[in-house]
Amino acid sequence: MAIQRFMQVGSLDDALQELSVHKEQALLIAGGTDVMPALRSGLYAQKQMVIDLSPLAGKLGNIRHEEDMLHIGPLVTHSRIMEDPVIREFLPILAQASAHVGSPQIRNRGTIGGNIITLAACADTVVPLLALDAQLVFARVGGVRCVPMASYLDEGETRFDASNEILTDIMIPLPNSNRQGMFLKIARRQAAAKSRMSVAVLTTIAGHRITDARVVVGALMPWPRRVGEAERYMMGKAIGEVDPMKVGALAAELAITVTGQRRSFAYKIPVVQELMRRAVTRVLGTQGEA
Amino acid sequence: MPDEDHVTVGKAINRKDGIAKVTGATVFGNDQNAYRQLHMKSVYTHYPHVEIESIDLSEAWKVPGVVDIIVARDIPGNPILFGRFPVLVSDRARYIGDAVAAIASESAESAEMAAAAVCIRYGKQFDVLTTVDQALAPDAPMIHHDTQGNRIDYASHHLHDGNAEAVIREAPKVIRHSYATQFVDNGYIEPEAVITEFDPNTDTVVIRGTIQNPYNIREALAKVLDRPLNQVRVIQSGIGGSFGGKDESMMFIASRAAVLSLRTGRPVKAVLTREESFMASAKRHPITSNYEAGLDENGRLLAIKSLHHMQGGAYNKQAMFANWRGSIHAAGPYAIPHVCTDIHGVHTNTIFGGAYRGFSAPQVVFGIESFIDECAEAVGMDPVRFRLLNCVKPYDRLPTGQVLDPAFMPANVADLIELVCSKTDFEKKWERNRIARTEVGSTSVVAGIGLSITFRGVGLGGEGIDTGSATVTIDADGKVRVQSGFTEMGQGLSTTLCQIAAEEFGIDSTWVTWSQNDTAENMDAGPTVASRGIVSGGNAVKDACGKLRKRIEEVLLPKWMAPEGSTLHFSDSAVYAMTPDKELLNRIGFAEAARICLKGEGISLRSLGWHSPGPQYFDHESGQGPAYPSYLFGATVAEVEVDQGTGVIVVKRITSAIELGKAINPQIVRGQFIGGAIQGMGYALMEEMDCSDGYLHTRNFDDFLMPGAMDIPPIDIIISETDVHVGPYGAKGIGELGIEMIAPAIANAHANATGKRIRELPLNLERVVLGHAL
Repeated sequence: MAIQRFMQVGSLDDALQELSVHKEQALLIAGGTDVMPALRSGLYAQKQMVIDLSPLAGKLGNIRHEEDMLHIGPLVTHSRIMEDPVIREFLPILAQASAHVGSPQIRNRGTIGGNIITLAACADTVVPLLALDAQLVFARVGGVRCVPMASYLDEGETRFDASNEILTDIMIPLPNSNRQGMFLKIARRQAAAKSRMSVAVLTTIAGHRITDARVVVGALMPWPRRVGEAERYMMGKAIGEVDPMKVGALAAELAITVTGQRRSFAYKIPVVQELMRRAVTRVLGTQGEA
Repeated sequence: MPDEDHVTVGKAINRKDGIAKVTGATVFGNDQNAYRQLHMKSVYTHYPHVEIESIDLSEAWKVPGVVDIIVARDIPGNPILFGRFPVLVSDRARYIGDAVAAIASESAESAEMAAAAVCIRYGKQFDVLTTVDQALAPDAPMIHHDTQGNRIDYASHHLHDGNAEAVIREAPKVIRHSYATQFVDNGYIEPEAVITEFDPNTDTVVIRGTIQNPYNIREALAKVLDRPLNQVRVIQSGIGGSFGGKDESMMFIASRAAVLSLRTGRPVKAVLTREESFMASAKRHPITSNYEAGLDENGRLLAIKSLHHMQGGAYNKQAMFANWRGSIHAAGPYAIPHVCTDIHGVHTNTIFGGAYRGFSAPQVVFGIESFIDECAEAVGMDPVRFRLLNCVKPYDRLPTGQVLDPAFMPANVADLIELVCSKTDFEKKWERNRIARTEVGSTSVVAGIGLSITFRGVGLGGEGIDTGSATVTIDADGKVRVQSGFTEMGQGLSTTLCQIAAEEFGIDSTWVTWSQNDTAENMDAGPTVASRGIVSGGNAVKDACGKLRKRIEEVLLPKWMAPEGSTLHFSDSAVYAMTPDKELLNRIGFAEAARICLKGEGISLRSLGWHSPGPQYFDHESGQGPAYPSYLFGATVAEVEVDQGTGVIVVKRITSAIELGKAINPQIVRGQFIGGAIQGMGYALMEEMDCSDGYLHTRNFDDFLMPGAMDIPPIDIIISETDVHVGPYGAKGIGELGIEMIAPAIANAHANATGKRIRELPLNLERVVLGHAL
């Protein structure tokens, strides 16, 4: 391990300042549940110092509710998200996904910001964040920028400048209508396991018609993606007109278009279709009853 | 359960090591340090099967802190350990865990840097044989030049009884299927750790660490260091789980570290990372099994013929023993007139197989018990009736020729089947599931119930001579110390052996203290394996206690001028002298009795206990003879839910009935059984190690998944005690029975739920959805 220095910062400005000086040599740590094993396995050989963000919890570790927008600080742990009453009521798929992260120990330390920044293909919270149209706020010395979750994911290597920027806020618009969602995850055991696959489905209904639909798959492509074709297919339809199998088929089609056929698809393609079928059936079923 | 004959035996007393473990006070291997210790790191090959031309240490020597580096030619004695394992390789690496050098440095970090700086120049790359089929191909290259077609030395075993082949040829109904199992790690929570030290005062090399089998390590090191056994001393630390595993890997690190200690004159500490432990420790051997059975029209088994291949890895020290056990158990606890079993071990350029709880039983029991369900189905019988019809009964003859005499082998497996089946309402659920699965879609969640049964030979049997040792000491205050040649590694043996001593002396179990083993103090008891700690270890404690009671009696009765024929009784922490007419002559406290012997009469109150059933005369050519002194029996029902749409299997309940002779401590019996059952679930559903190209891709617990708390269902155990005369108070052991019935019960439950049969472990997401692995 080549880390020479461990530093705790007093303010976000200090953190940004240090980052602007040390750039690629600095490694930011929040909960540490991804960073520590990666450090130990030699993944960060070029890093020389660790900047610990935990003293900034007062500023970056809160859940705030402002009008129709929820602000989640990047240092908020998964445990707090799954227990937060506002999230549980208005954004239940995020609470469900957070409850699926790792184990209680990992959820107590691991942060939503870390889940977004390390961005594993199987990152659990990214799937609902994508469905919920989350916006990410990145700060750097002398400025901030706001990036929609989808663009953050699609920008690939250039998605943000780790040597200059710090994620400071996750903004999620709160719904003002009859919206239902469902998050489903498959793993090799019932806790503390990476997603083999996950899906989120979110629909808004007005007068028995679907006025908004979000369909997301995780752990199927290099990062979670919305299935635009499936959303367009559902939009405007009456509940009874939606064929849940079709939604699954469109998700499968997208995966094959994006990555080509992969060995794991022999399993994943039929299973993602089944998961989608279940999620869509349950979401629309609930709304049909309402 | 209540036990009127005994005071301490049969009671669920608290574990002797319990408080220290739950409070974190236990000193494990890596908690030990020594003054001026060096840290060792091994340097591993980069390729699984390759010629090594040269090893350049010059850059490694430049790393600050490096004190010594050894390569193969620096080994003073025999560089090859039992099972062909090299301490270090010099000219050829045969698997990815082979080490070429070992570095001793002032810090672990510097040793690691130096290890990375060693430059190995490689020559020819050899074909990497990763499967049994590749290794057995007629034109396969030889992994060792002097084996027969890559077969592991002495690992072929045969059990031939009658004429199975001819009977199957003529049989009205013939069934054939093949089954396969995978490499799995023991998954102990604590990786291997050792400190070696040369003690110039006694000219002895002292090894402390997480060693399951201290006498194996002592013997291996004596050869490597070219020293007599009495100049190698092994002292065990606390052990954070082993399950058979902390043997070969301990042999490697202890031998490399000991050579470095002798050269540097300093203690050397070696601790494996999890990645190293996964790579260079024993796994459960994969076994592929081909079964053929001939049955009559009524569903009676006429003959079973089976051929098994055990994948051993590049080197192997256990296949010869594990396969013998496998040969005895491969046809299951069934009364079959004709049996033909052949089993072989095969070298491959992969991680190696060794001991892991069950020792070939989990593999062959998965095979035979899946096969039995398939036989039942083929003749249109349910799995319960089929097993009740065919299973062994008292006085039946096993294929080894051994007759199941109820005094030693109760063979109450039919009773156990009926117990678990009535408790779980098996037949009704089994039939209901069979109908339900046809009424729902192919991606639905369906319920399944599955049965498996087993018998398990007690101890080593014909594998080798079985011995047990104990040293029991009574101090002048009446308190007792029990030492054993067997190891406490979490299984609870320290508690049960202390319970036996307390029972024998009629004292409270809190009066008895346990000492972890030290080879300088205890006789070589052989390894702590084969669930034999209670039989051989317990009988040895009983033997030692009996000798001490006799000594006390020989002091006190004459002293009290007791009439001829008087006896001394030990109970309520006191000794009672009784005349032949059963009249109380005198009574003193146990402590007082000890004080009189030690301080008054100068009599030693230390005794060496010993136990051996003696050699088992067994014909290894035909597999005929008394294979084991006794057998355990068991029946298990697993209830599952299978999500056919995603491949997720959830185990809802496990119910087992077991015959184990006597439960010395029912709580420890339950703990042992449940621990094994959970490992069996992992084996059945999720555990596997990918070494398919010779490199190990499953490197840590993020890839090697074992069941967690959320996966564990209620596990009900019905303990059936029997009056047999094998171990102390009739105990026969429990360590391994829990694991072996689980995978086949789950596989049978899956088949009941879905109507589809999976013949390979694990039953992971992909196999459940696709019927095969990716």
